[in-house]
Amino acid sequence: MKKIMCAAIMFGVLASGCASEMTIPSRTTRVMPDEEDRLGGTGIESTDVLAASRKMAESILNVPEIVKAQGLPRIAVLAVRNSSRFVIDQDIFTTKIRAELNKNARDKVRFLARERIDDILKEREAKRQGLVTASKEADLLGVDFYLTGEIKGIAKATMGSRSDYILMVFQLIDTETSDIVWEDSYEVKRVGIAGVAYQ
Amino acid sequence: MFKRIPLSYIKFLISTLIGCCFFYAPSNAGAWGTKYSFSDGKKAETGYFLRDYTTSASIFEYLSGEKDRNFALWNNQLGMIYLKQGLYERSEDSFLKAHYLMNNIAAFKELEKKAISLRGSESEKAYKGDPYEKVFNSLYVALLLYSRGDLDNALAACKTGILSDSDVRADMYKSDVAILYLLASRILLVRGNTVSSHDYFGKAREAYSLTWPSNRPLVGEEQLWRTYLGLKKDELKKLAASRNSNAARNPSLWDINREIGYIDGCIKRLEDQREMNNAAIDLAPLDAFLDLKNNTLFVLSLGKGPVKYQFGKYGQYAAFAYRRQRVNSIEITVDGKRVDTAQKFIVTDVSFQAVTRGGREMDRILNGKAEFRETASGIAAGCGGVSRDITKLASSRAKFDPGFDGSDAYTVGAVLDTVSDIIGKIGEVANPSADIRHWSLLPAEILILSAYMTPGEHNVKIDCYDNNGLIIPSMSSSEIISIKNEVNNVIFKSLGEEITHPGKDEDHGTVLFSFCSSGDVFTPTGIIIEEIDQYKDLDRKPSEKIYLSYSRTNDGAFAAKRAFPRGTYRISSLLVRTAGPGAETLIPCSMLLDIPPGTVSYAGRIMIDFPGETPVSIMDLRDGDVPSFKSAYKELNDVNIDTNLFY
Repeated sequence: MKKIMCAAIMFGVLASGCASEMTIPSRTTRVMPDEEDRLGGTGIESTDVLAASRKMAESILNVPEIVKAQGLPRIAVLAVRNSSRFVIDQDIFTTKIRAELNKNARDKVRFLARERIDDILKEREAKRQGLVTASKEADLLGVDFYLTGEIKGIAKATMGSRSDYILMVFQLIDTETSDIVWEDSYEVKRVGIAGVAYQ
Repeated sequence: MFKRIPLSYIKFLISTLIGCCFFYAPSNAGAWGTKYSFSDGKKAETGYFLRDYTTSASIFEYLSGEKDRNFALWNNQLGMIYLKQGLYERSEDSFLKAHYLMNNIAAFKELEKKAISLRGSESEKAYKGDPYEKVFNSLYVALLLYSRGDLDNALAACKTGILSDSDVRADMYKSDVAILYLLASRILLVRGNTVSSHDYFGKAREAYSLTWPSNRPLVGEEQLWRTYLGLKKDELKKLAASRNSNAARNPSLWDINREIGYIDGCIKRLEDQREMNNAAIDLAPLDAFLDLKNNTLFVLSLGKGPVKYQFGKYGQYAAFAYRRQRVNSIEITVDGKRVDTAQKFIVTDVSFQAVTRGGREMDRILNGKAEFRETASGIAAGCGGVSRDITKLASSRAKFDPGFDGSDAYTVGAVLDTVSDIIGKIGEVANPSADIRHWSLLPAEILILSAYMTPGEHNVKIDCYDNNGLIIPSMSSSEIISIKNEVNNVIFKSLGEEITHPGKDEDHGTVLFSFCSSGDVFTPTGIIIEEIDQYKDLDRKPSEKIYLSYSRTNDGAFAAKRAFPRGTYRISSLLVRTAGPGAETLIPCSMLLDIPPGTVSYAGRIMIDFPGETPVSIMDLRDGDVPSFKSAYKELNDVNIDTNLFY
């Protein structure tokens, strides 16, 4: 009888003891995009996207060619060149810069949707042909400045650990003269030490 | 109080408590009671080789949806299936999911503690792949991004792959995947960055030469010398830092310097030999790859890739076994016109990349766990022995001395017995088994050829030939391929990975092993065959280990016959009896067997490869060679037994 009781107690302890082994905790937590998440890594983070884009948007508004421009300067976005080792959506930076400027400085700069030009031309054509209604007719506007940039990096690795220096450079290029009228950069360096299990 | 409670109860209580504290439950609970468990991975893998891509994909999709620690593994497997099906977008998506996880050193950090803990298994950690798996994941990501014109990110993937390859321990094997440098060089050239393109091309040439077949043994030997040199230099530093640093008064210092001089000489000799070999290597395929007029890359995956298995008393070591490639040459015909493929393929040997990964920090941990288990088992056996001796002595004395009170002796004996049990149980909880998860759907070789193809539909015929110049029907194909773009086309084609004996899962394959040894020098007595199944290991299910004895057949050969369930096996040991008074010798070896349903015959001869010497066939050994073989075998732990089998 005692043995059976002992066994029952042990079974209870055993069951509770292994309960924590049974599942890998899986939960989703919402965090602010400008907060560091706990996943880590040495790559480009949402914190970098936000910090870099806000810095660039503020910086652009201090460019004399923008501040003193006659009329609203028109800007189009050119694809950012990714020369880093990270596979990313490289347009995420210019998209965020554009959104920041459109939100806060619509009276100072205006962006042209050149990446949608095919759709725009098709719609204009339909309007001109009377296939759809048109509330107005206007000329397509030319671009005064291109906003573009490049992401570069230096990476080092040893025994699973990584060190990544990432440099993001953004420019405004005058489409008439090819002058780089503005340039600013954002840089970050991250080092991740791999645990022994991965060395 | 103590005397009133029977010792057996105390023993039971303590043992159960210990067992309870160290009880180990598999942590794939996410798969319990659900549609598929880890073991079904094998079914999915077999499905792929049987061309049942729908079943295969659905199992891996399900497992991937569990988002467990094997997420990257399932996605790598899925990527291969989609690639085979021509679903390139899905393939890219799967490979990218794996890519992000495999290259994030911080992901799943919480599982790391479990993996290195005494009772945890290495496979408790998240699968992020060996350096070679990261390299090939990056290569597939790069090729798929390249094919849809995302050159920037394709370049980024190449760079990550190159970086991953620098994780291998052995310096000579760092960043030696030429194709990644070449692809990066080509992309940079397209982008107009000729300077960087030139730099990458230089590194591609270096990597290509280093991994050239005639250079591989030299590089392997050089790596050994370089490792040895590093150890000697460390030793020298320590000695030089000590008080007796005066060379004249310290003979050890002089000895080490002399050894270093000798090692330097050996390295120089090997470097010179490599230089001579390099002069004969045709680098024309590299130039052709960079020719931007060639708008199409043919990516041919050949055969089945390397297989990872455990060995050692507790399975604490992981090693790779790979299959021999039968393809000697390939012919591509487009619309009836032969493409000039002679010497133009860039060949990347997946198996070679897998086996040159070098040691890992984790190996030391697993060895420590194995030693702990061995020591605990030794102590437990010792305590048990002493306990038995005490009890036996007390019993004997009680027989002859009626006045002898043996209760104390019995108590001590019982306590020791309990202690033995406890230590034994503690030892058993140590889990030294190595992680054998690996990307098993990788091919054995990836061959890339650049050529010009006009946009439109083409009839592309690929024929593989063996060493005798005969066409291998299972590795040849003909199909209509659509070339959509003027630039950046990639044609993926995999050949020779399919199982040619479909059968049913429950069917068994009857395998006949025969060895042609005359029996004068070595008489084969048996073989030990082990099943290789990474999915069973994940589910903590034991793999099959089979002993098969040989018998002499009517024609004088030795043969063994047995039916096996379909699967991948490894001949892990050969048992031979040497001529004369020699006892039975167990020779470790590693030879892969893919056993399909039906009847398969394996026959061949056994080659023994002593490090640094020409491999010899044991059938060619004379009687006089036997003692030297035996002594060499005893002295060297790393004798490779290479079995040259014909199927």
